[in-house]
Amino acid sequence: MFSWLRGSSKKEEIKLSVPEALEILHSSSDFLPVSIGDDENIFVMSYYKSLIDAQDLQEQFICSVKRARDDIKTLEDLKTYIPYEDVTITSDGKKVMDNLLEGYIAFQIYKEQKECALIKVLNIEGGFRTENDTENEFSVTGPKLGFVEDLDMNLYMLRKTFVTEKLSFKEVSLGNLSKSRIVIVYVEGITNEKHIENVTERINNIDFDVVFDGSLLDQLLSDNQNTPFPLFLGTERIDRAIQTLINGQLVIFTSGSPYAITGPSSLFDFFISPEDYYLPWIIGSFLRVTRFFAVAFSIFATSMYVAVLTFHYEMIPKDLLGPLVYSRANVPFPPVLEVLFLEITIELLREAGARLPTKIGQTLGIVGGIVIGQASVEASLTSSVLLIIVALAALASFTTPTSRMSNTIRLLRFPFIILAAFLGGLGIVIGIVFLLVHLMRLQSLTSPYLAPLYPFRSKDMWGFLFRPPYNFSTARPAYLRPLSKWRYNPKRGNKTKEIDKE
Amino acid sequence: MKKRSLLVLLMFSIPFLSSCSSFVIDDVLVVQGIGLDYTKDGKIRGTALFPLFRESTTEEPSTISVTTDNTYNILQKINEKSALRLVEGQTRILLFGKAYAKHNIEEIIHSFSRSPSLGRRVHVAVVDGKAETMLQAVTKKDVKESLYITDLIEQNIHTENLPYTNLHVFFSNYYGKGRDVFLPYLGGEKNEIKLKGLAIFDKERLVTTLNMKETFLFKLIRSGSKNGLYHTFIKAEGKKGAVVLRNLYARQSMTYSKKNNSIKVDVHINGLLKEYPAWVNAKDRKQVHDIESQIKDELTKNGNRIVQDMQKLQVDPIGFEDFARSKTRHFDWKEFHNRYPDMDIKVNIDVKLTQTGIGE
Repeated sequence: MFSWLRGSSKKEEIKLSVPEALEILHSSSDFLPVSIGDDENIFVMSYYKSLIDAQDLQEQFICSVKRARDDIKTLEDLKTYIPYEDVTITSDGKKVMDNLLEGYIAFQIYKEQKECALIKVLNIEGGFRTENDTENEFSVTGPKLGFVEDLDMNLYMLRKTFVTEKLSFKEVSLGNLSKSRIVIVYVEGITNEKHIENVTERINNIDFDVVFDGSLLDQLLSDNQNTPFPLFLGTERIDRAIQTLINGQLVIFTSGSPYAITGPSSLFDFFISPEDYYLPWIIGSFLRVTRFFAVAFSIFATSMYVAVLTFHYEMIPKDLLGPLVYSRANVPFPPVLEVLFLEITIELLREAGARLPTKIGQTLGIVGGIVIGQASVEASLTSSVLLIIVALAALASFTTPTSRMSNTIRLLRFPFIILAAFLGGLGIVIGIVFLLVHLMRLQSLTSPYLAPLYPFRSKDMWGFLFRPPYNFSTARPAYLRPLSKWRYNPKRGNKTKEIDKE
Repeated sequence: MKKRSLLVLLMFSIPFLSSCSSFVIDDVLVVQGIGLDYTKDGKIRGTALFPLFRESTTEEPSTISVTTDNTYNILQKINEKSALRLVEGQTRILLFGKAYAKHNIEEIIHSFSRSPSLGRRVHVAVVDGKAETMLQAVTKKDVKESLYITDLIEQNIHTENLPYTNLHVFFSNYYGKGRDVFLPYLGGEKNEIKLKGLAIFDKERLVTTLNMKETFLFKLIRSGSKNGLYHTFIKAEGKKGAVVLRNLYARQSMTYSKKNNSIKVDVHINGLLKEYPAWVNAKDRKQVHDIESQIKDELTKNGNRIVQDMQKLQVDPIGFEDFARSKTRHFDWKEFHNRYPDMDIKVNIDVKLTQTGIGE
């Protein structure tokens, strides 16, 4: 019924001629048909002014064309006289339109010529950020180099850091209004082809108008859109992207987005920080275990508080009973309202802090955290014990290295608080059961989301719960079905230790 | 579709179905002690001790007492007198008045043993006098801490002469075959709270009490222990002086012989001579050996006396019967019970003084 809205497919079948195509593009004010030469032979160049490197065009292209203007009789002649490699001659109007939008110029010998030559004179550096300090995925040690909005720059950076001929790119385009370039990166001989086929097929099946960020593609690609959990790990860190490639995962770039999507991901991927691998394994493991504990604490601390104070007074240790009752003595609300009040306050602070410029955001955080917290305790709106718990839970949720997962954790608390308020400890258990069932059913590119835990793979599990020493992290995770199992062989390295001898 | 709407209905009904019984912690009175007394006219007087948390950061223990026909409706009757609901889940101490303990404790034990909200680390004790007065003493000015009695018992278990007891041990002794109940025995004049020793039960009735000195020996004979002090006198070179023995570590072992109808209890104490008269030379091994043997004789004599007393009363709080059962195939309870009073039970307490404090 609404098919006319989506642009009928019939139109594409009609072949556009080159002059017709140029005529269509002419409506935009930055599209210029420029004539050069004298009256006898006028060359016509058509291009988008906004996409072209004007200096390059002037110095290289126009100069050489003018110098050889008498010799250029056909478009084939052009190839010999201009210093550009990428020259194609076409009479397909559709192709001309697409290429002009990518920064090509169309060159014709005379105005109404049916053919034209397409030459790439793209202004590469225009407008894009060239550096990204990975502030959103910060780590103290390790490289601080992140992807930028320019796709070609990203591919360049990846190739430069990950030097092997096995690194392969596969480009597809997506979008019925604006064509976004999407590049699937994989390592030949490691990444399972099934994943590549799967992603390619999914991208081909998507109908969307403009994909202007990786996170949009993330949602369009995901196996289940009705979940708070991110199904693909998005990252702007080069080291992290390489890490996933080594393990046998894919990396997907979208033009105009500094975020690379990696997949298939498992839940545990989101709690791994690249920093774990830069620190000694004991410290790395400790930090990772701390992170898991922090997540559990962040989700359950406040709901436990509600459950214990509303239903399970029996289980309060005798020395804690007094302080808990004192702190709540003047609070007029039941524990659940008290908790919701504080949790929502913290959420507001976070949201406001994220929207405001960095410096004001910091000030707001301090003002909000200290002043509002202190004042609400003094005004008997909340108990001081709860203030500590909520603040710690908020702090703990920041320890997740990926911001998308920390958003999920923020959200998950609320159903647990409400369940705890109605059913106490039983409610929390019911919530956990539902959460586990949901997690078990989730898939990321049809591989299980809870992977080393369910289905259980003990060997992979160690590599996720702890950061094993490099002698023991030789195998790739099996659930990714990589084409080669072993990453390296620690025994092969040190056969003679002449230097170590004293 | 039908399934989904049913699920939504279920979700929405949860708040309405479940909000009927909450125990918001500041809207209940948390009972921390329960006392039971037997009045002269055959009724039962129950007392509940609970802290009141006021605005200042000190708690104010207070009590409510009621008189009823039986134990089952004590809590209900107390609730009739209280503005906030009383809940028993935080009970830490259960006190029996001496009269109540002599009368019958079966009823309250039956109801306590089935209550799911009670922890098993509740302490049970007998009061010389009335439990009500003891609980009221807690509310008086110089104590003012509702957990005072609990802490007192726990402190004495961990560092002094009292054997390990709580509701769990109590149930084990009460319901277990071949053993009898013993409980801490509290007393004290006026508003004083003091540990007086142990109360020994025959099934559900109090029969006798032990003083603190005997309690030290009881703890040793029953299970050996790691602590406790014993105060006694020694004679040497015609002089008489007081000594205090600290038990550092004691090992206990029992042997049962059916043929001789005898049980032998061996206790080895590694002790510290904590206090002794100035004229004793602790460096002199001979003198120390002399003291050791004097203390040993004293302890063995008193230990045997306690066991004989128990045999005379036909009670078995140490659990000789249960021990004999564990060493006998096809154990005959009745037969053992009949010969228990005349049984040859020998206690031998060996003392080794390993430390005498800082020497000169």
